[in-house]
Amino acid sequence: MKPEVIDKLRDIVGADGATDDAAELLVYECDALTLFKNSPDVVVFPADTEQVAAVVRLANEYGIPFLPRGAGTGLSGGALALEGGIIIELQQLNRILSVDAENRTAVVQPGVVNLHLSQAVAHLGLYYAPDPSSQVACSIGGNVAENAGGPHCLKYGMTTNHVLEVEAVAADGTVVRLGSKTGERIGYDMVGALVGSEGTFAIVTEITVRLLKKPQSVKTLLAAFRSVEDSSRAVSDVIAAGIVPAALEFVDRRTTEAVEASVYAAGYPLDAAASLLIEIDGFEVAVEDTQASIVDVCRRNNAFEVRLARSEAERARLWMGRKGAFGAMGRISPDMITMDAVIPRTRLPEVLTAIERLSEQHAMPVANVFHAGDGNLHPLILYDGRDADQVERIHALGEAIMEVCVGVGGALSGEHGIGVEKKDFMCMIFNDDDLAAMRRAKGVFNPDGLLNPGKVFPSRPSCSEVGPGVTRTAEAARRIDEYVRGAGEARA
Amino acid sequence: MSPAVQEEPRTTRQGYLDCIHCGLCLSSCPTYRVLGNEMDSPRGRVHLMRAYDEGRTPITDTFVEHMFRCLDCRACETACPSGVRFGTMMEDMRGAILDERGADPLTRFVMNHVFPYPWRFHLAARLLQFYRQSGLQSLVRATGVLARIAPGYAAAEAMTPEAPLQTGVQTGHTYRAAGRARGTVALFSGCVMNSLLGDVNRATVALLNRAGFDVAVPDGQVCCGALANHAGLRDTARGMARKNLGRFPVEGVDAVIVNASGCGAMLAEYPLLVEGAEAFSSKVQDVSAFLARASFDDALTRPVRARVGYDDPCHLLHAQGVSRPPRDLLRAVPGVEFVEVAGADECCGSAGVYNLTHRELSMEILDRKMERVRAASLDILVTGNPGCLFQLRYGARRHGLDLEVTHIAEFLHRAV
Ligand SMILES: Cc1cc2nc3c(=O)[nH]c(=O)nc-3n(C[C@H](O)[C@H](O)[C@H](O)COP(=O)(O)OP(=O)(O)OC[C@H]3O[C@@H](n4cnc5c(N)ncnc54)[C@H](O)[C@@H]3O)c2cc1C
Ligand code: SF4
Ligand code: SF4
Repeated sequence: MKPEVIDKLRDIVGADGATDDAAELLVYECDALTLFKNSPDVVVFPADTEQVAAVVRLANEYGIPFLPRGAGTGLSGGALALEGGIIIELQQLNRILSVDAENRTAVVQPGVVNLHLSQAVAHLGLYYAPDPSSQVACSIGGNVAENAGGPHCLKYGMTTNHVLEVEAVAADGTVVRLGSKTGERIGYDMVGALVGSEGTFAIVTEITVRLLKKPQSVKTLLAAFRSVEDSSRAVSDVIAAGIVPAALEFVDRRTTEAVEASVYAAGYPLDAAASLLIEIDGFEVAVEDTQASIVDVCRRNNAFEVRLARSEAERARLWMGRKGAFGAMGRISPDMITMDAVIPRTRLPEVLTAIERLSEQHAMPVANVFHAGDGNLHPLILYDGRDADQVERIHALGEAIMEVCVGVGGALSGEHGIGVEKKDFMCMIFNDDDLAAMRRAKGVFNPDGLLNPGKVFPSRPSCSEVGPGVTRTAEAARRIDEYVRGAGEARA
Repeated sequence: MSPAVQEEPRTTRQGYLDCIHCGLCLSSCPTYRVLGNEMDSPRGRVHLMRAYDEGRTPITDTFVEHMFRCLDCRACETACPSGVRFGTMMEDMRGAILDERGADPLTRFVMNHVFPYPWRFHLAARLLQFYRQSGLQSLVRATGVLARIAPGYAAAEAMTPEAPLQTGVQTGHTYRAAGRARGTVALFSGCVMNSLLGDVNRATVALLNRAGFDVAVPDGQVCCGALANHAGLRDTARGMARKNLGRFPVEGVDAVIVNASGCGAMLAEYPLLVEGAEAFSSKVQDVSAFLARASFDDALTRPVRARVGYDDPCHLLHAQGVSRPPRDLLRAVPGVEFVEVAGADECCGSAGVYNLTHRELSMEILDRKMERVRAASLDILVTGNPGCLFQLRYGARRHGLDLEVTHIAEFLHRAV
């Protein structure tokens, strides 16, 4: 990058607001997905919207790629500077600008940490509902970009259901305000388009979010099962009984081992093949009723233990375990990759069995911990990045798992985004025409493609050119059928 | 668990292999909270260590800056689900930096020639006091001469605690409990503690005696070595560890009691420096944890009417996992209205000599803390480590608070 660009950037953000020091750039070479790395040419730390806009205008002037970054907890490489260029780090924009307790809204800057917002409004009896497991660290700006979800999104919806208005710097550097403080979507639903656009449509610089009132009563249950099948049937039965838990999470044995060995040890039974973490909230009376029905469903599906958290501390501990689960994998494996797919809940048992078989076939351990209530799977492939052979195998295994999920009528990504990680998998779901429509949408927001290039869309213009395996739909379907039948036989 | 790659024995620093780059530690880190950049976060520092070992970056000036800007507070260890042992990795990394670049001469001199010798430390402390009382201080401050010759130590001068020197406990002496003793403990008397905060040591002994324990203060003990170790001078620290290990009886004492949590954490980690130190280290206990376990709350009968808060020393909370016992003891004192101060678990920015070497950042961290202390409207703030004590006292002055900051042993002593 030309030195004059760095100078001009420093004119905008101040001498300390930009770095092109090689060692410093290294820490910005990836987000939480370490499989892909590339250093940016420069990182800037703007202090306000105007600085963001000025940086974007400068990037346009010189034709340099640029991208926003929040806390870098993304799991799909969204904040990876794939083509170098400028990372616009938004951590300095970390203020809660206002809270309107009466109308239950808050206006925040994008760098505010998700959990800090809930903590700041707790004294008002309010909270911010979307609760990704990374909520102690991830930024609300990053949540908006990824349309982040969390355990409680089963009942309360994803980020998109909680964003009312945004101020954003468009890809050409103009500053726009979209949506409305009251949440009415007037004209086109532009907020809806921005949420989940993975930092490829605009850079969000201010967000008005909805806050919720804390429920009167909250109960958390832990149900332990001897078989994965029993537990997944319990999941289907809970939902089929018309119950809408606030959260319904699945934790398998491997995950339990890791969590129990970590600082987040939560007391999950080590002898369970799978445990469910079920939370219900609402009015006192209703909660008690629901609790009884859930216990009943679990028992009917052979739960050998159903435990109710007796105190707030115990409840917190159960959740800390779940939320620390991805991180705890470091206890049992040097590296891991988190997959993200949604499948119809009713197909859980067979898909989990298929994943287990694939894991054995590829000789790569897979742990499962996920949002069972909405069928949002997160198979975690455990590997050692120092072994090139293993790295090869994860790709094959990841692809095979995705095929299984898609094969039973599922979709890519519930919440972690497509990023670079799953962009070629897009061809499993969409054909060239579908993708062309999406490309046109991107072209409207990001005509020169300078904003966060190389994300979301397959690496080749046409799916037929994307590497083998992904587009061989017929072949994939055959294999899926085989696994699913195999799983059925294994059950029988 | 992962297949194939056979685990070879790892170096300490390779603890980075446990890091999966999840970022859950980010907002626990005081430097990240203030500076908002990944280089000054635990994850960033771990990433840099790994990059260095993999030959992807040399040790550059900025590299050094970020490694030494870390407070070694270990809040990231408490936050890390993956069990990354950040503190020891950082000490190891700093050691490698010093091996390559050398420490600045004054630091090396102080660490190697003052801290290991109690009498020299004492002398230095006395000189400092003389210097302050003699009027030399105003001369130096007025001329700014110190700032020109040694800026780091100029900051030290500004931070010099106002408290007069207090004679502490006598080494080589055993303080007997009244009546028949329940047991015997050994006291680690510490260098700062015994010269600048002698009161605290005397209170500690009195409390332990009162709890029914004879207290032996072994002769010939020296500085625990924590400051040297945090600075990366591992050989210096190792030498101190060996000396102390030779001086402390392990058989026949129920515990080795420490009232400076920075020292406690270091003593508990001697096995990482010296082989065969486990028996000693397993006996190390913070005075608050020990007293709580000995049901000392029963002895706390004299009322102290005050709004009291507690500030967690990082090396007690994060390195030794002690958070409940001191609070339980404070609550047990009649008349005390205990207030949980927001952010009590966050570093105060003292961190050994950090407030001298990184004054600006340290003050920023301190200011954030004092704002919340102010909001709690306390009469007394209690803590458990000399560095924190000085820093918080300084913070109270700086913010014009009418607040007493005291050590837990001293405070409890008022209640018996
Ligand atoms: C341990 C762990 C658990 C997780 N659990 C969950 C979970 O339960 N649910 C879930 O949904 N996700 C989860 N994630 C993924 C991740 O935390 C989320 O995707 C989160 O929303 C990312 O936020 P961030 O601030 O870290 O963003 P980053 O990683 O910095 O960026 C993510 C994307 O957002 C873009 N971006 C960032 N800020 C802005 C902005 N202001 N305007 C426009 N674009 C922007 C970036 O360009 C990038 O494409 C988890 C991650 C980890 C490591
Ligand atoms: S030890 Fe403290 S300052 Fe250092 S990285 Fe960890 S949390 Fe940050
Ligand atoms: S929490 Fe632990 S595993 Fe996660 S990034 Fe920090 S040090 Fe690494």
